[in-house]
Amino acid sequence: MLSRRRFLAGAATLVVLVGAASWLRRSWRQPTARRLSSTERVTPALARVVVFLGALFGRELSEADQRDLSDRLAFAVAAEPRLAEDYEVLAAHLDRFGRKAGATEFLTASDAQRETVIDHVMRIGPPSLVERAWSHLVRSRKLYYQMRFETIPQLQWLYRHSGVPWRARGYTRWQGIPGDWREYTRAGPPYP
Amino acid sequence: MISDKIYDLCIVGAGLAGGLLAAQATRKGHSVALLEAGSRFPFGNRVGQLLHHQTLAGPRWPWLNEARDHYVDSSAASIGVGYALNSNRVKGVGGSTLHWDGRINRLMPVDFAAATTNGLGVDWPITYAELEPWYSQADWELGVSGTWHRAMPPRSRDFPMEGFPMSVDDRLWEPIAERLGIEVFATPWAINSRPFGGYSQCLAFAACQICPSGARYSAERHIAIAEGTGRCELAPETVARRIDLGPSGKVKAVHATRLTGEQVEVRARVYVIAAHAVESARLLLLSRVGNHSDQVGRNLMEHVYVDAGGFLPSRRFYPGRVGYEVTESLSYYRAEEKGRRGGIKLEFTFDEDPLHESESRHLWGSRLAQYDRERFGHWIGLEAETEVQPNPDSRVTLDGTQKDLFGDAVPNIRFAFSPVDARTQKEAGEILANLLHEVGATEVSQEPLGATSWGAHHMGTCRMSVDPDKGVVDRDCRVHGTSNLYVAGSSVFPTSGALQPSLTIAALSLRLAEHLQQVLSSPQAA
Repeated sequence: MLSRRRFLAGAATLVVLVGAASWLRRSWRQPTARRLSSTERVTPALARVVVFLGALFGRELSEADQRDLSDRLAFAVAAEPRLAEDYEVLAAHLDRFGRKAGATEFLTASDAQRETVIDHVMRIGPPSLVERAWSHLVRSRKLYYQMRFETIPQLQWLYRHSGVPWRARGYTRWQGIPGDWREYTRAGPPYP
Repeated sequence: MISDKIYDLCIVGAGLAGGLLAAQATRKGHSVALLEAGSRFPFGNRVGQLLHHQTLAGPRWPWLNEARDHYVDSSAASIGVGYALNSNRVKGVGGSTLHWDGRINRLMPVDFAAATTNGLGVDWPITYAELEPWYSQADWELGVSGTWHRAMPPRSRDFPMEGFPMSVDDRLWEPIAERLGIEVFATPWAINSRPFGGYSQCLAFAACQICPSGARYSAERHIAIAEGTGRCELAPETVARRIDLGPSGKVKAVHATRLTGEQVEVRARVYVIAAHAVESARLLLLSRVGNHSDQVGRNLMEHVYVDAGGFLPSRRFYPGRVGYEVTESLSYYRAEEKGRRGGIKLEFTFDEDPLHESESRHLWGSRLAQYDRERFGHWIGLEAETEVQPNPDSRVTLDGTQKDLFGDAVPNIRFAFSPVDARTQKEAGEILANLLHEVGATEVSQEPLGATSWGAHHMGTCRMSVDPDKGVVDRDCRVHGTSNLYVAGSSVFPTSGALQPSLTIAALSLRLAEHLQQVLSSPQAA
């Protein structure tokens, strides 16, 4: 037989859980409300991801840099189509954090606002045990942590292996670009 | 396509050992069935594979099939860190040579007599002198670029190609080494320093592990030779599951299943298991073959890399220009005191990327860019490849709870170290730290075990021994108690040394190929 006290405690917990789930669903809908059609949705998301990478690594991206990163992101999506959704989730959060920082959206944010967004994203900590359990129930929470601890590390890897950091260091050749193997016996370029 | 005919030779595993054996047998006119669990990855797609690697990173390797390659790792309980088996092997036509650096060394003569000369481990039933002609042949089969140095073992034939010289960065070490009385030399590589064997010279893609030019050796070369004779039938995506051993000790067939579910039975006069230290042992265990003395799966070995590094603001290095480091040293290979520790080989690196430290240092944005500007090209790294002693408790067993996609027990791997291994790794760390201080590095740091790298060199599990109670195969690599079943590859190594195993795998395979030629040419044998 359930005691009255236990019944009330259980009911209160249920109300809190339902309320929290409803709030999270609303908060998740907000940034993804402007979802594009399946054929169009990748491009605006990728544009945000490219800008995000520049801001994350503190680089002002040249046209060549942007082209390089866009090509690699497109390759990644073609090789693993589920990444399209991952990038879309990241882009949606960037816009949401951008608005919180006072911008209309992430793409039009000022350098200072972008730094605020990056700081916010990168300070997302690993989920606690409760949050982890919660993530199993609420998809938006799962995607939130997935963005931080899977999507962003994959993008960091992609950036480090792209030509962008190497160009910034004065290199004219990096992994994947052939040349004279004896080059390594001579001094290289100074850091610009 | 595997047919119903009786082949001269059935080889399980199309990696370095299997590829060489297939090439040698077919060159001599023998028919070969070559089974490979993994897929064939066309060479023409290497640039695509490199881009895949650069954008999607390690865990998403195209050759991984989780249901087929499932395993259980019990190492954390014994050594404190887990072991990511699937990140340290490749299943595919070409095996692990599809994805390796190409650094290639002979074992030292003392490694073949480890118990006698070093007071540790066991002696091999063969000597360096016996294997030396096969090492030389292997240099030429694989295409090794090297320059002989007196610290290297003696050799009867010169390297087929001139070695890669030391880099401008490597020259930092020359005066330090001279002052400390240690010898450094340029590493031999299975990478073409000039066009060789119908393959390009190195084109400096700086991505040796997935060399798009073909300059770095892959066992696909020898598989192509075997297939080119018209006498080798290669069956990719075909997983050998049982060896059918008759009561007389003669294998009657190997049973395999294709990934499509189709059953395959291969009959041959002679069988060779060359499926890597983990899977070769697992196949013998699943088949209940060769394990009369409970030796199959035991003495599993790996090379543990001890890593250290330091910051050198006064010098500028140029990392990332080629995909390999060139200098190494054997000056600390053996301890002066017999039995004190295992082998240590030093490797010198300069490839640390400050951007990798973003997470650990909580750096991003303009602060990360500034950090990169201050640090890039000023990091000096050292690695020590260390010997792990053969240990019967370090082993591969059949897991009692988990099955692969065919319903077979998956391998349960459990690495175990001895106190000697702990001493070897500790002393390696001390040597590295001392060298870094000598060169004037600051912020000298050492990675904890398991945080950086293992060698991806699986050895042991089917040990070579003249005594059937102490090993799995005899000195000819024939499984004790059988008449026509052999094991090839690093699984037969009695000890590991502290040097990359590929050239020893190749030399032993060429030696086995010669033995099999005699067996197959003899009407009464097999």
